[in-house]
Amino acid sequence: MNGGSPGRAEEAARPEAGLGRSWLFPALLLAALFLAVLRFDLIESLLGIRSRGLFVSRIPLWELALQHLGLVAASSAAGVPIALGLGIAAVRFSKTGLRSLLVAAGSVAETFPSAAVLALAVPLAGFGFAPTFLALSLYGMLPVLHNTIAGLESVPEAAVDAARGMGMKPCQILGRVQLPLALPVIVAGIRTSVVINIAAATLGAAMGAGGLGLPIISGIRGFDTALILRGAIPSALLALFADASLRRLEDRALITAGRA
Amino acid sequence: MIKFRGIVKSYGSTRAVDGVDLEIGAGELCVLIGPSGCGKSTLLRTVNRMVEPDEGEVRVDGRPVRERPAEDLRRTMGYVIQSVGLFPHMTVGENVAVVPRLLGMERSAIAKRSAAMLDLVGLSPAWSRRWPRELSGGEAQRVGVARALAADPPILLMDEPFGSVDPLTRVRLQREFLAIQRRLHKTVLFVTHDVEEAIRMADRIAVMRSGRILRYATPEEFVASDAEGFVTEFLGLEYGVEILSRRSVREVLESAEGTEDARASRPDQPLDSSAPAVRVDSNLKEALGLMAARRVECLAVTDDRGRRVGTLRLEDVLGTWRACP
Repeated sequence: MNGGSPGRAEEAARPEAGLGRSWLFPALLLAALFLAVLRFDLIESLLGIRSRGLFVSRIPLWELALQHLGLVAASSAAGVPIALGLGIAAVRFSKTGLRSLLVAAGSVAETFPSAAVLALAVPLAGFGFAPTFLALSLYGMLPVLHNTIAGLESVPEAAVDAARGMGMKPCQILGRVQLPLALPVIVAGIRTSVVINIAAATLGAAMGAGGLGLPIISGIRGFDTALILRGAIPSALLALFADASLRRLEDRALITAGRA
Repeated sequence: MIKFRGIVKSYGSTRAVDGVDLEIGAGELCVLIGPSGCGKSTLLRTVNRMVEPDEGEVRVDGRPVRERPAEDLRRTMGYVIQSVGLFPHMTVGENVAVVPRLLGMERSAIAKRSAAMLDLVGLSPAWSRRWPRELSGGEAQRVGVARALAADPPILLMDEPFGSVDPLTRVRLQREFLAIQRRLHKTVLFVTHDVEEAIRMADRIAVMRSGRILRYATPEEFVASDAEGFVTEFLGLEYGVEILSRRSVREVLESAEGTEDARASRPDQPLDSSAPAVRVDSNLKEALGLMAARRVECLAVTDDRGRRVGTLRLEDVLGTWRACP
């Protein structure tokens, strides 16, 4: 018997270890984002550029940023749960062919450029918020769907077999074993989805949905680089912030899934 | 306790289990053995309804398992598999507590129970806070056994439980499990393809091939049969030597003392003081091995403290069969 007492390595594996420091980077990005949105004039003078101001919208930048955020949040809030549900159903009822159908449809849809999806949404839903919301929700579903299926299928077969053999009901196996173990992969899918949507939402301006795309489009029309940056820098910072903070959640999920 | 009647299970055109009748008594350890693909795992999995037979019926305690909800049934049977299947996102303690929690036991009772189970498999309570990825293969399977026993099920289903650990660890786990089994008297269905393991563990052995049971008997009964064919071939000629591991030198000495012809312990037998010594709690296979290695016909038998307690002769080892029922 080598019972004995476990070594000290265990302490380092506690989920909370080192988390405080790792949130520093997202926090810095958030501060930069606030600065860019509220005092873009500071960034302009820092870079030594100045918008000619011909096409500058009357809407303040912070309002455009809020519109942008609203678009992304609404479309992700709608798309992510649906994609998650479809992914779970695909794996659960894999024998029915639902899985291959969804994977095939998802792969085809992923080859569409986001601009094309947005353009296709216009005849369906008109102009404004609705078509952009629709297109972003649909487009953002793909990585989540893909990763949900991949994540659930990566759960060790032995763990599922043991769970079944110990008398867990299918919903208990899903909730207590499969989802916790698939979570890191699923969160990675949500991260990809949100980042893609932040970028794709700039195209929404062309559909009349407002957002940070507005100065970009105006800037392109007016050959005004500074105006383009007025939209591009905040949206890039927003995407970086979302990516960094969701990555922290992913790390956390990895730890609780016992894989890190 | 467990009764199979006419079990048939087909996958496509192959019959994995092809008409099995088998009865396992309460508290017995029954080993299902056979080459891979002979249907032994499939048969085991019909007991907890992980596999539903096409024909026939499995009864536990006289009651068909089909009549009970699969999940409820499984919670009354410990399940140990070769790949262990510990949940990587739960600590060792949480893993052990899974079935008690499913059964809705009280929190304090669960904690007590899971500590007791870890102790039973030789792990101190401190292990319960560790993570499965920190365990070696042998440690993981100890936890697997503790988890299967946690809700005190009357039945244990073990599918090649020690198949993926190194040979030394395997023997140790087998010994420890036998010690546990002697205390708990579970009804165990144990699948393996390892003849040595079957001999060490089994009360009864069922030899399977192509979905059928060819022979079901105690390990000793297999030796007595001189039937030609698959069973003899599968068990191998060394079976006669392997089975010596089931008896200890002590048993031979004790049975010899009772007989008139007490050769084994007759004090007036002159024996060279340089004769190799064997411990009284060794088994006969080890004793025979020592005789073969040293090319001698008798061994001095010593106790824990190295005191001479008797003499073991080659004919005592080989002659045991007739004395054995």
